[in-house]
Amino acid sequence: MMRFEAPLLLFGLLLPLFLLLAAMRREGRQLGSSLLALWREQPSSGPSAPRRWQAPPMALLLVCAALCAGVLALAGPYRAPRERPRITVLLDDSPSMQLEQRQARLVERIEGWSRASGAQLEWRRAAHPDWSAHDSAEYLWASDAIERYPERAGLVLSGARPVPGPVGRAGADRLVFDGSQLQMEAGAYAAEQRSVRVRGALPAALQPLWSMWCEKQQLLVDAQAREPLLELVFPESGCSADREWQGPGFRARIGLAALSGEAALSGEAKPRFRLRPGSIESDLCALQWQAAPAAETAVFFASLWEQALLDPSDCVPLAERQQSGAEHTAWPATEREQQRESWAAECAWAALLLALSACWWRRR
Amino acid sequence: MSLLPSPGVRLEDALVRRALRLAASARAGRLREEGLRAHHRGAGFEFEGYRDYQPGDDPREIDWDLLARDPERVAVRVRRSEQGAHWQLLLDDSASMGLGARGKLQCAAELALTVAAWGLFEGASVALASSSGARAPLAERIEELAGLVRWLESRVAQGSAAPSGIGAAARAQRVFVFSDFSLPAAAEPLFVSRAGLSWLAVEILSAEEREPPEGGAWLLVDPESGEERRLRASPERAAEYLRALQARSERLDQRARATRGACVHLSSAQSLEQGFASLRESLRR
Repeated sequence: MMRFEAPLLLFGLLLPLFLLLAAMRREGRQLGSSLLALWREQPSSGPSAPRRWQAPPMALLLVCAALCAGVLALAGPYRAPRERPRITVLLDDSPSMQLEQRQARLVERIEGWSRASGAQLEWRRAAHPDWSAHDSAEYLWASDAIERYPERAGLVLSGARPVPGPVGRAGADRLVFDGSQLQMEAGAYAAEQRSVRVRGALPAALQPLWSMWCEKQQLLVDAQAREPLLELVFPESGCSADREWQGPGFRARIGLAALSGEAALSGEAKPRFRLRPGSIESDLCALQWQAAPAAETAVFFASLWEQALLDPSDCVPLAERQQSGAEHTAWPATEREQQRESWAAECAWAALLLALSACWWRRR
Repeated sequence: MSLLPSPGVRLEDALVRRALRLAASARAGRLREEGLRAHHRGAGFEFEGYRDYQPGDDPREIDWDLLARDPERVAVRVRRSEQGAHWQLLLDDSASMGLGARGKLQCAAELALTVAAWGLFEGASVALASSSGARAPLAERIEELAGLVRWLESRVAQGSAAPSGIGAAARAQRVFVFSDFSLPAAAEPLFVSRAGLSWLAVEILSAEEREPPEGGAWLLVDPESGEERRLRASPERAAEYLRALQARSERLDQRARATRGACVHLSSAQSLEQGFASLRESLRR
């Protein structure tokens, strides 16, 4: 497909068009003369024919063609490759990208560039993606701030200035980042009804620890809670626990079904807890303290539950609010720009040859 | 472009000074020329006619050519001085005189002014009239030239009144006609012959009329009749036009000679100096 570097210059094609129309008008230029009789003596200059248009002279046709070729040369024609270049956009989906609509604005900019460049986009969203694994020309990194700039991939940074706001919860209190340091807003979440629930059989040895933790966090244990901030999932009672697992300060029987997932707290090949935001799934069937409940055991489970406990919806991690960086744009070089074939020189030569032809025709 | 690009006349002070210089130069040149002739042939400036030889006449004034043709008649040339003569200048101010980048009427007015100044320097009285019927006050002294300038500047090329009956003015000894002579055939006889009258027809055409276009499509318009003709110009047609123009000029010359006049052909693109030089050359012939 033919494209132009400066398509506005194509309006110059109107000039030869006007020239041709002016030349084709039968009336021609007006000239006053008191000696019409001398022309009248010539049989070839008789009264005008009824038609209003006439064929333009060949020299003018050549001049107009030369003008057209010259205008095309100035407009910079080139042929784009038939296939649209494909660019994969790695879009940072971390919470900070939701601040100040950074992600939405970046998406808008990238789509605008795609329309202008003809690039075909493939989107990949991930929170804190592995940037360095995708540092090639067909990738475009899109984030708000980044630690290391790419060598080959394109990069669009929205920039990230510190954004004040809630960063977390401590019981009923709210931790707020004011732009430079943390402030505590006491009792900000006191009025909210916050629930947790347990599915399956909570090992009896854990029940006191769970109750204490919920009380400390001011959480209501409600088995019917619709949107719990944390859900503990254990096997149903009577599961066949055939193996034993050693935890910090306790021993536990575990079920046959192995978990797979993100968290492997024990360091074993098969994890005993699967953590998701708002949910902890475990295959522990029965738990037995090695001695009295130790502090390290309480810290282990409290830490586990706090990791999975959902923050209030308005909280964004402090690291995300603090993150800072400048705006930056480096679009990837598309295939069209690399492979396009310019025709400007050919048009310029054609204009020159046509102009010379017009001169020769005029003089012959 | 306007059909009549230069319908008016503008005679700036600098141009009037140029006209005066040319007129003074013409008088000086004529005096020098006539002085030499008088030294050889006796007194008198302008040839007026013949009369029979009488005893006492300067034998150098005998016209030997006439004697050769008619041995029975011995005649001497009669000469007259310009002192007390009357010059009549007729200016064509019809619409066609507004043609040309430097209008034909402008060119005619500049030449008429120069000739009028020349006549006043020679001691003649000068009368200006236009083909539309306007007349300028009679001028008898060079100081009255300013009135002629104002009258000339008031001329506008319009209408279709062409000069006719040139030379009929009873008093005039010299008549100058400035026109493009785009006259209908019915206007003849154009020139009138009269004893004691010498006249000069100054034909002025525009540059486009002298050098027709050799290419392109043209709409030719006669500003007086409004007649239009469409023309597809070419070098061949331009050559045909020039031949027709040459034939027209020769016809004008023949008619002028037949009535003891002369004709000079000018282009409005020529400068005042060039035009006046051609005019004087024509008078000398």
